Parts: sequence; structure tokens; C-alpha cells
Amino acid sequence: MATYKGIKGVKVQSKASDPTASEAVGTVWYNSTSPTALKYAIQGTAAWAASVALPTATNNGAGFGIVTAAMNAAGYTPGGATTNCQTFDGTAWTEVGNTTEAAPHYGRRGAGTLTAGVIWGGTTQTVDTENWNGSSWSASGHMATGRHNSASLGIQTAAISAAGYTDPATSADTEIYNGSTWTTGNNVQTARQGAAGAGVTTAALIFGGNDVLTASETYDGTCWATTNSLNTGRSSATGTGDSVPVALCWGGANVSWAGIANTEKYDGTSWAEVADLATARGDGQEAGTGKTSALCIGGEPPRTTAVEEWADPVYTIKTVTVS
Amino acid sequence: MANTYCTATNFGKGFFTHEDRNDFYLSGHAGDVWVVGNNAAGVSWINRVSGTAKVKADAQAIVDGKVEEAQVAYDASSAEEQARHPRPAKYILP
Repeated sequence: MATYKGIKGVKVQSKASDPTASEAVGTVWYNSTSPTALKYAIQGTAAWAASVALPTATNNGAGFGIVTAAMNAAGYTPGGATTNCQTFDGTAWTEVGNTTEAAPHYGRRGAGTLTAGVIWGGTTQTVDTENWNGSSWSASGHMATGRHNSASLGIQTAAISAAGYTDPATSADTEIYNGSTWTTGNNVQTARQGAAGAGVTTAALIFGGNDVLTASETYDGTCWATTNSLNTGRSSATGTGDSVPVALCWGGANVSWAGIANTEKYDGTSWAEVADLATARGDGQEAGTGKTSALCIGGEPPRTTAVEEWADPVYTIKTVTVS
Repeated sequence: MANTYCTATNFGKGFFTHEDRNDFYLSGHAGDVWVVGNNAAGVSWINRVSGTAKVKADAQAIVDGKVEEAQVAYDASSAEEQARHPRPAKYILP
């Protein structure tokens, strides 16, 4: 009969505390502290888990950053459009300085990091752009064409605003931001609002949008080209990805404006369903790289404080039970 | 029976974990309604989060009421907001 030592080359170790699950996959150990137990670690499939809720239910705002350093900026709350912003450190949301526009807008979009971010646009087709320096917002160069609910991606010094809504119709416009000014790029193939974006200005992806679109497009730094579509069409999609070809799309709303829980991952060629949000919603804010982690922040319907954290894969410590 | 129903307040981190999501079906709905896979892990989760068990009809009524509230809010919203998405509609819980 095979033994653990015969397979692993060592005896089962006795440990005073459990190791990190991701580092312990494939091993078995005896936890010698109370409660004593024989344990092992496994690698499970990607999944969403509950994270720390927003202080105020918010949808249709701007999100950027990573799961341990995220921004939730502006948006729409039960009290109406807001200039309030919160940052997340992985443990708690903290109120930070408000955006600076005279009247609050929602439908703004953003990109960047918690020390260098940018938000732009919003209702009612505003051209306003603001830079975040880690502690405060400051006005920056105006967009050429005001819009709300565009797809967003990139970093503060190299961001893209693609499509969106410019009264009285959806837009196909692309604008590229360099940290201080916007320049016009080639149009997307399918005009839309409420699409999500991922990647950088030389390798980008947009996907979904109103009305319940599956259409996805890649951007090579010059032109947009159609790529394989999402499996599930969705308005007000949310997604992220810091370096296409990997991107993650979650949530959205269906034709009846009911939330979608479905999550899909793009591998450079096609989309595949990976897991569902626990609370279906669209129109939320996002953070994370999309490769191994992401944050689904707020959203609607109904407008929610709920935040979920994506992990791909999931590492779990299990206890051996005998009966 | 594939699913069971409860109401429970999402208290944030730890309310449901990645491990939970691999162990049982879970979907959240308006009114703090949760549809939970009816297996040992799901039942254990309801106890862990101090959930209140509901029959499906009662859970559905809570969700329907929240959708009706959203419909009233939509009808009172601006033309621009209404252009952004359709009027919320009721749906059947899984």
C-alpha cells in the first residue's frame, strides 16, 4: 500500500497552525493545536465571495484599482447622483474627497490605480474629466464629445473611453486620454452604451452593452475589430482586465432589466462561462485585474451595497473526517 | 427539492465564502431573499448566517414587492434615465 511518505518523500508534518492554502495544495498536515485535526488543501473552481459592503448603495459610478486598493467614485445613490467617493483597502471602505464637478453626474467611468486614477463623462453628456492623485481630485482636459456610460479601460496616462451615450443616441466614438488631454480615435464597430472594457490602449477589449448585446470588439491601438461574442447578452455589463487577452465580464441586465449573475472569461479568442455572482446585478463598479481577482462593487437592480470578490482559482483547507 | 429559501442580511465579508460557492448553489435577490441549494452545506449556511426559512411563495412575494417598488421609481424617473434601461419586470425565483 502506498504511503504518504512514499509519495511525498516526507512524513505527515505536525504544524501549530495551518499553512497558506494556496501553498499547501497537494499536501496533508496534522494541526497540533486545538482543535487537533488532519488537514489538506485543495484547489477549487473560481468563485465569487461576499466582501465588505459599500457604506451607501451605489450604481452607475466609476470604479478602478485592484481588490486591495480600489476606488468607488460618484454614481447614483438612493439620494440621487453623488460626488461621494470611497476607497477600499481589502478590509474597509473609507470616505475620501468628493469629485469636483459643480453638479453631480452619474454614468461616469474611470481607469487607473488608487494613486493615479481618472474619471470622465457622465450625465448629462458632460465632457468633464478629473484626475485622482491618491488623495484628491482635480479637473483635467475635457473630452471632445460628452457622453455617459462609455466602456472604460487603461491607466491614468493611457486610458480609453469607448462608445457610450451622446444624446439623442448611442455613440461609437473612441477617445484616448494621456493624463491631461483627450484625442479622438477610430470608432467602435457597434455603437452602444453600458459596455464594459478591459486591457490597455494598445490591446483592449469591449463587450456587452445596451440593448442586451453579446458583441465584443478588440482594439490594437488603432482600430476596433469584431471578435467572438459573449455567450450571454447583457446591458450595463461590468468587467475588467489589465492585460488582454485575459478579461472578465460579470453581471449586467437582461431585456426585462432583471440582473444577470453570469460571469464569463475571455482567453484571447472566445468567452466561456466560469461562475455566477451570488447577487445578480448590472450597472455596478469594478476593480481588479480579472486574471485572478476582481471586485464587483454595488450595482442594480435593485440598487445595492453588496460587494463580491472574485478568486480564480479558489484554494480551500479541508479537514479529514472519519466515521 | 433542488432549492430552499430564506431571508438573511448580507453582513459582508464572510457572509458567503468562495468555499461556500463551490459547495452549494446560492443566489441573492431583492428583499434579502436567498435561494439556497438544498444540500447539507446549504442548510448549514442558512444556520450560520441566522437565515429565516421561507417557503418559495413567500420568498417570491417579497421579491415581487421589491420589483413593484422599482417600477414605481422607474415611472417617476427622468426621460434620460428611462432611455437608459427598460422598466423592471417581475421574474420567477429558481
